[in-house]
Amino acid sequence: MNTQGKKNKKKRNMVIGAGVLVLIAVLIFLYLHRGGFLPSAPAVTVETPGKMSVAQADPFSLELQLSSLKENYYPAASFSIRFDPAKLEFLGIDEGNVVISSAESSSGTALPEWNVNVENSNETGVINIMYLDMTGGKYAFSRELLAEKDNVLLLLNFRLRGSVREGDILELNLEDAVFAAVDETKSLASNAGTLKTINGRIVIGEDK
Amino acid sequence: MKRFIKIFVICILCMAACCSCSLNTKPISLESSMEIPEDGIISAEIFKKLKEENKVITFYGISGDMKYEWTVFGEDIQEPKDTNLKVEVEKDKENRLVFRLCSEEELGFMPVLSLYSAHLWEADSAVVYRKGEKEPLCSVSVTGNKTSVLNFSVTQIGEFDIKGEKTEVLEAETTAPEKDTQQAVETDPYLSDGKANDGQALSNEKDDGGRVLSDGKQEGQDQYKTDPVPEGKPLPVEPENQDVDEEQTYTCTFSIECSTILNNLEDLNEDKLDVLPTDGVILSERTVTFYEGESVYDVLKRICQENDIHMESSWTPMYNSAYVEGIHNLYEFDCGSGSGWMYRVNGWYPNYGCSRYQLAQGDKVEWRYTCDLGADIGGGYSVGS
Repeated sequence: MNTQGKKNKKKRNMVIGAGVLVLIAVLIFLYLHRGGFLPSAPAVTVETPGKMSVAQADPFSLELQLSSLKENYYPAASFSIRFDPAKLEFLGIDEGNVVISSAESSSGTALPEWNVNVENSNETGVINIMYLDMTGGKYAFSRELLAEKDNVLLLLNFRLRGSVREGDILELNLEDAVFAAVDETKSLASNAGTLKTINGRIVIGEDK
Repeated sequence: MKRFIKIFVICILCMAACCSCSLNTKPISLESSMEIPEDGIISAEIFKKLKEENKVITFYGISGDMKYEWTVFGEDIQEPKDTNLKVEVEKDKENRLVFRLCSEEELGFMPVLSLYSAHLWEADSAVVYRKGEKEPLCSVSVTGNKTSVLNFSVTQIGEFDIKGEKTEVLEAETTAPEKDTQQAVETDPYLSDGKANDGQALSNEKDDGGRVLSDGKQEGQDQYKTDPVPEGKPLPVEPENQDVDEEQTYTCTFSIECSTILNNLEDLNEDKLDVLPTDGVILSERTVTFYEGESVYDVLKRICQENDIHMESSWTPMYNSAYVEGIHNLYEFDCGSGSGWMYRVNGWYPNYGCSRYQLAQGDKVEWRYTCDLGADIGGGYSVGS
């Protein structure tokens, strides 16, 4: 009986040990396959389009993209994008596909209403874009609302000015990006190093 | 016991095989921004996919305390190959930025290289020199407010240095560069900042709406009673010859002020005290958009409409131009017999009407009220607006 009990105990330990090892192997497999367990660091990116030509007269749109958010609610967000108003004309913004929570909508989500002053942007060369939920948190950005493919915060509409020349590189400098949380210590901000920003640039190539 | 060990070993081997297969067959996914590995090598597969999908990707790395970033366009890639994108950046003894592209063979495409300076560069522009050479290789655009980003297109590999250039503000009263030609010089008014071209002559055959600078040799008045235009200043363009192209937009700065009245309040029509701004500024200096071919008058009219500023003008056939009688309900003669509106472009009061002054990129236009025929605002010898 004693010997039988020891054997059973050994078997049970081996089964448990094998199970743990298999589990570790599965986790290693998932890690290597998916490129890591942790979500990537939050980043906001201004899209860089393909090369343009001086003959490009039509307006064009560039995406302001969000890669991810940390677990929290962010009822306010703002970005400043510096550009050369002598070479680029800012025409305004269009909606993206990153949503906020909304109790009034049947789907529970809504698109944020961004504020921007187009005229002032063209005068100063800085596009200041802001979203502010005046209710204190009902209409907020959050990670759980971010669908995998929906990463466009908004579209920036531009037109090249006639002063653009072949070889010009027009930097779209993303500065002072903030996703503000109710508890400000949890806010994401480029100045604090908790929100990465990636500039866009428009390169004027040869006429095609 | 042995059976369990066998099962366990088989299990582990299967898992390892799965991992290995998965890694080998895993499709390359292109992120919009990718980090350059330690050895600097970006694989041919990535460039191949970039070319196939015609995407734009930035590859970034760090050298010392400086971040660098390549912007690579899929459309530029001819033959995908393993490419070393590592860059070594440092400052030399003269505090110049020196960088070395570690690739040993030509890249085969023309990317943009961006260098991120942690501090604001005291330069508006810069040029790249191949190490040891005196001829500049290409120009660098410098942007940023708190930190600077230096951008340039890379056409060669090797070692280079970058020299910053601070653009001096061109004073309007600056004497025009001497020209040994008696021909009027045509310039492209739409090159950036109105300072490009540097007075270099373009072909007179080029008819791109360019305005013509005076050579100072004109004698007598023209048909619209305009005295000779000083050398280096733009000759008037008749309104009937101005071809406005709304597809092409440019910017200039615009302001309207009447601060001289504040020093001559005793002469001001009492009824106008209510409309006089306390600081004399009717429209603070701002950047405005204009279309190719537009005149100072065209823009004044539009700016006043957009900003709900009253403006009244009358057409004067003798001068072939509109004459601005009043702005913001302040009219000529409201502050003495020598009072009225004048305009100044880049510090010069043109001696012809504002309908005949064709704007150029970066022009600085000021509408100013004079109480003394221009003498109080530095425009005493000009013919008014």
